Amino acid sequence: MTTAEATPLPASARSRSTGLTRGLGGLTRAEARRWLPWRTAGFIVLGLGLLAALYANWLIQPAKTLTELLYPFFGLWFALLILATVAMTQGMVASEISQGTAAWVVSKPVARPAFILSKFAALVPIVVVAMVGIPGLAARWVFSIAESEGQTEFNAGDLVRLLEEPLARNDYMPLMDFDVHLGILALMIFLILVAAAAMVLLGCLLRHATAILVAGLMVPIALVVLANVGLDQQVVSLTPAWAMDSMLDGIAGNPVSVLGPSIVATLWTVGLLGLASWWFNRREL
Amino acid sequence: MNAETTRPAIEVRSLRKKFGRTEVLRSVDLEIPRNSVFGFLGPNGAGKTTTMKILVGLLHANGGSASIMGHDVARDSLQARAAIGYLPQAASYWKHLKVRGVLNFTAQRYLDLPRPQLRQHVDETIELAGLTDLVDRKVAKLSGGERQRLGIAEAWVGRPDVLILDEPSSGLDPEGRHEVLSLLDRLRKDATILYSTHILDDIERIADHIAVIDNGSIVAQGSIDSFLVGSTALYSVGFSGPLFGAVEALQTEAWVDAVEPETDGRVTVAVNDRSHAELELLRSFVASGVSVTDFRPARRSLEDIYLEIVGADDDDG
Repeated sequence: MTTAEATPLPASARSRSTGLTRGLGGLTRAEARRWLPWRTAGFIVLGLGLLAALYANWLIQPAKTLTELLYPFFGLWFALLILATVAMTQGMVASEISQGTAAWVVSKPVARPAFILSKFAALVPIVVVAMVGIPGLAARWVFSIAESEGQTEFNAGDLVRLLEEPLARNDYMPLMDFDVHLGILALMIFLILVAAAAMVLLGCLLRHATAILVAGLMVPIALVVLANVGLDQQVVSLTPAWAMDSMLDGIAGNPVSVLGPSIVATLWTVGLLGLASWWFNRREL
Repeated sequence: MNAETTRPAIEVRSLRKKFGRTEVLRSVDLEIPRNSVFGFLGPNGAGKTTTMKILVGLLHANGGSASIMGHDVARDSLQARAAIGYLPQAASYWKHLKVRGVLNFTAQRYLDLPRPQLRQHVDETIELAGLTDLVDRKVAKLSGGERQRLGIAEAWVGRPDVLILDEPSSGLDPEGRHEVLSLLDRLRKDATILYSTHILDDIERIADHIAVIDNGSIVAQGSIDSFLVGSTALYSVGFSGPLFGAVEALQTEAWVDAVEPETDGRVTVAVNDRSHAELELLRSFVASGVSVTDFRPARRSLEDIYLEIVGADDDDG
């Protein structure tokens, strides 16, 4: 213990911001720094592991058509992404509330909505880059290599060794149209964001991790059911299931509609986050 | 001097709070002067923590109002919180943070300073709290006393006008308590401190105002001097030999509230009329034939007063 005295600070040193997002930037940076290495590593391993597994599967049983190849690929990828999102976000808010760290943060001059939005904002770049972007581009690259006969400059490393066998037997992966491929990736991102926003809301509404996990798993199931249950298209187009429906169309080789489903999914994301912020604002800690 | 600068640092009016059907705060009124150290006393479950959490914005009141430095805690929550540094009973931090990280994070929430100045400011707070050797230690590895000092440093690092500290010295050994109280003593000239505790010695040592809350209501409030002196004055009379019925004789006097013979050759007399007592008390003993060896005013301990207040309230209830 010392006898040091506190130097007075000028009044201008005090932050004056009073907006609904006060603290958002700082909290997002803190949140991103906190989880960035784990999330990045986890998502990259997941994405690349999935690619390797699917490629190995294709080596054993080569697909004869584009649809036959891509359905399991995108289906499994999307399912794993959704599961990873649910698993990684299920404790994002609820555990902070139960451990008292949410109270620690919001006892400071931080807008409560900023606490909620920072969780989401820190997750978005990871989802886009690590979960969808990197595996998506890697998939594109693999398909391109497979289709381009005689590209021997890739004959190095494990991935290329895996490619040698189909190349040798003149049995190539069919290539998806680039725009369709990007469209599917975009829809995947928007759907993942809806799922993450739903998890943030569930974290505000529910107290127990198991309940949040179970309810979170219901979200993708609900999307799949809505997209496949044969509802009127006008009803489906009011929900994020439209993006799911459109994604399935693209995978099946049909034209993919991106703009409308993306807007609807974005509105749902904003709505869910708004609801979560409102609820958290009322919640006692 | 304008009205804003003379206004109390914390004003609480008819504050009410229910959890379900349980009324935790019935009607709490507090007025905490600027730059005072305000001791907030009360038994477990009396409503101390609930009151503090409402002030900090963690709980919402069901009625009444509260303001910090003129900012209503419900309507103007952000500005009210900008004026508060808060140490909860069991402070929780993100597990990955080290001591410096906690202080940096908090300082950034309160202050708009360029990075070098912010670092210098945090360093100064670290030194003030005696945490220099611990800056790179993870919070989870701190001892109870170190953790409390970090908690106070963290509450203070944003240089708030008001510090709200919920039992900052509970669970600490005497050395830890001493360190925490010394730190608070150093901060008192720069901030208003609202401080809840069960340890009455701490309050007596550091507080200049106190309030006692019991069953969700404030049952006593005022400066510590007014508490310790109170309306009842005490006198201690030393004697040798027998008391010869002096006690019984005094008990019939209207200006005497109570007479309590001690075991060490002394009698403590509580009186409600000080000037009368100073004229008559010694004379009464001498008239009864008691050999008086000394006579002096006595000071009641805060513990006696506290038990009297809380006990009386419990009896009423």
